[in-house]
Amino acid sequence: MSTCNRLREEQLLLFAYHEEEAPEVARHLAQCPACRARLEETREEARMVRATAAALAPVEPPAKLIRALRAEAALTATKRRRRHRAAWWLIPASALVAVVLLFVGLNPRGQRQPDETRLAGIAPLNLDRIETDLDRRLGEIGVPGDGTAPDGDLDAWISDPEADLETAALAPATGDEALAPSIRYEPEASLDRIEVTLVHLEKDLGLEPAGDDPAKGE
Amino acid sequence: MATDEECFRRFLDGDEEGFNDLLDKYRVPLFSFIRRMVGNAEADDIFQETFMRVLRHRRQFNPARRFSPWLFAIAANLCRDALRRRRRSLEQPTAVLPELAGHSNPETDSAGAEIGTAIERAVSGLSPEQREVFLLREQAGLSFREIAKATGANLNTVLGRMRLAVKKIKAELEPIREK
Repeated sequence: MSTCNRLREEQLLLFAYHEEEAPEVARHLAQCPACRARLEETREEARMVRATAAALAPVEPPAKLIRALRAEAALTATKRRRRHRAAWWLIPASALVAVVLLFVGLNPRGQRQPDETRLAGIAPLNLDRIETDLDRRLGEIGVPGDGTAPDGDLDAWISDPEADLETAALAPATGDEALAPSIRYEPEASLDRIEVTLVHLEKDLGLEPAGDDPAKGE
Repeated sequence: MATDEECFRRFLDGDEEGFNDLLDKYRVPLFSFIRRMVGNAEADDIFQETFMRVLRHRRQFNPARRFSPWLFAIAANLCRDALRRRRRSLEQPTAVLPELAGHSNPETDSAGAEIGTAIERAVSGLSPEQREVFLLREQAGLSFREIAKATGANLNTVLGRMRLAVKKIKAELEPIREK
């Protein structure tokens, strides 16, 4: 019989065990008697090997090993069931705890306040305190804080110009639009106001500026 | 009849009977495979360790795949480790044949003890690599591709080992068949 080596033995083995019946192998086998004979020989060997394997005596493992493994499996399954039961009520309970923590964390005082509102809420408090403090101090040195000052908003600016600018920017729209312009920082005008205020203070304290008062004689 | 994968899924869900069904189905083929790979000395330990690893690494099993290649791959790896340790310690490979003489198949007894002994001798005469492929294919029922994956060898290497195993077994058994 002529020989043909077109198909490798590995291809024939896969074909004989029906693991891979590639179309190109099947096409070649259909037209090549030599390779068909090789395939038949491989199939015969496979049958012989299968019979050999079937004739091998089965070996039973020791019973103690099986008992130990069954016990281990029972333990594993029991743990799994316990976890499953625990998880059953832990999931909703955890979700509830998470919601409560989220609520408390976001709203420690029991009411929700956006950041802007909270910051703006601080500003009027500071202004009030500053105003009160300034009024008190001016009162102590005899300067009236009731509008007789050169400008009604001067005291607010003196306290902290930067803070006032910030306050103005953060001030909520209250409808009282007079607030914002009153605390706007205008360097030249403010210097004039400081000067006037100092004059008032010196006058009230009895400290006349030397040579600056034309009414005062030499 | 539930598939292996369904049994394993039941076990993962907390039903130990799923595992016990698999243990009942595979205890003999697996122990037979291990005994023929490493002999009597370490078979018990490897068998137990194989199933313990199944228990320990149960979450790694992909239920979309077959259970038996996974199980036999674990066992094959443990057997290879044992053979490697044995080679390192310059110990002679355990003769499988004498140990299995007492475990002859009743069906083959009727056919003749001589054939049974010859078959055991033929299989134990294979190299560990050839024996591994032969047993995984013919006893464990793994495909050649599954064997390649389980043993970390490429498919052509596995097929080559099988060819050599077949030729050796054929040569060993030829005289008996001619009688």
